[in-house]
Amino acid sequence: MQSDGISIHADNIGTIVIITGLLLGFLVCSVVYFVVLYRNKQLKNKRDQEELEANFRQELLKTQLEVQEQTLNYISSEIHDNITQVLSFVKLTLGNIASGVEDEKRSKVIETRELVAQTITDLRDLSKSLSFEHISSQGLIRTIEKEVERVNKSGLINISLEQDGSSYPLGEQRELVLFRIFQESLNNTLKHAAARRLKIMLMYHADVFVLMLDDDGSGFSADGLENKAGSGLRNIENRAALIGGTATIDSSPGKGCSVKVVLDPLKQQLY
Amino acid sequence: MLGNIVLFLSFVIAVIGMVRFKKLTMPFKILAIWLLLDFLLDASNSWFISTYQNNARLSHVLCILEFNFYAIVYYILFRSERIKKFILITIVLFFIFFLVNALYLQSFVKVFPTNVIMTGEILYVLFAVLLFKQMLQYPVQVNIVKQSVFWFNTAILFFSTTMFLNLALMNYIGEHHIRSEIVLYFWYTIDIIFALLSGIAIITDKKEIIAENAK
Repeated sequence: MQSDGISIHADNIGTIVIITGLLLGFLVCSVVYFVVLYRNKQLKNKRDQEELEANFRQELLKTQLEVQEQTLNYISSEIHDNITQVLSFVKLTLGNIASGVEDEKRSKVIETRELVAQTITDLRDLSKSLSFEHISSQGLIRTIEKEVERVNKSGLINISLEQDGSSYPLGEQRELVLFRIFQESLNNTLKHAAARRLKIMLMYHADVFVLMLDDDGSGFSADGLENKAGSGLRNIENRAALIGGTATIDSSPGKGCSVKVVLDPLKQQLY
Repeated sequence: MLGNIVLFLSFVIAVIGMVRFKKLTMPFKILAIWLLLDFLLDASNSWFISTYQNNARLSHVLCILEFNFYAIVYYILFRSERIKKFILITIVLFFIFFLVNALYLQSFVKVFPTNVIMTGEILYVLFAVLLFKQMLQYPVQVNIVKQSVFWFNTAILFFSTTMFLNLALMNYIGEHHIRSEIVLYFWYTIDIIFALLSGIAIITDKKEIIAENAK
């Protein structure tokens, strides 16, 4: 391209175009590379954040459970050391009084003494069900059996306990958490369900452990999960997750409620 | 013809900036003001040429104003206190360099200030790269194409690197008394792309996203 000797030579134009093209190409590639890098960073950041949140929730839950256990242990020891001692003294005193009164009043005193004795027994059972050490020493099945006996004696509800398969240890912490889940479900049934029957099933299979509680109460809808009862049910789910299990709660109005906790006995314990 | 297209595009983007002004975040409010000012100064280019036979005065004023505006935008966008201090220092030093250049090296009334402009472009590239680095260090959970910071930074990086080549070519052509329209077309193409990218930055700017970037 040369007309009056002052235009750019064809070679120069080519060089300019090539250099420009290379520069623009480099710029575009750099920007594309940055976008890809940024996207990867975003994903990694999101994963890290989710992991941190999950760890935080778990730590918070662990702390809550530890505080709860400490409180329950304290209450258990107070019941055992103080209340039952005082009632034992009352029972003893009533025994002494019974020997010195007329026949008419003696039967009333003896009746009262028996009520106090019953109260002492109930309180001791309650104290044991609250105490972590007692639960650990007895094991899950025995502890649930005692609790079932205690509630059945009250006549509020008819509870049946079944076991499928030979039992094996699940670990102290996990058994404690499972027992607390059982207690939470039982309390919900007694307080809210107006149920006549509650069936408890413990399934010890080689690859999975299942705890199931089925009642024939009034049931509730999914909306019920949003209110206070729902937070107790969420507590069950959270506790199950903490020990590496999953809890499913199935209910509908008029159809009772089923709580099922599934646990892999071989999975590494998280708690 | 291309010059008119560039001017029209600048006008449209300046108007968009003013229309969206209240919704813009601080750094992009400053950018919007600069885009309007830039359009007005560019529009007066032909007056300067007809009055003074060159636009050296306008170019000198444009380059110092442009640097100050962009430096302030970057100052706000950066989190690092060290980089912010560095930007403040460069604003002062650049102004001193501008004065020295205008008085002693490239006359304010006669010569196009390529020294100052090229120094500015180098600093813009540095700011842009540092800001990209910051974006990677603190990624926000928003699609990158919706982030005005990305578009603004890309516009600056693109403009600075290509303009650097363009000015180098113009210097070469000027020294060898060579006439070439290619360089002029190249300049206008850069301007158009830069205007479009700046426009996208103004349109995509959202307070929530900038707040996330600043956290």
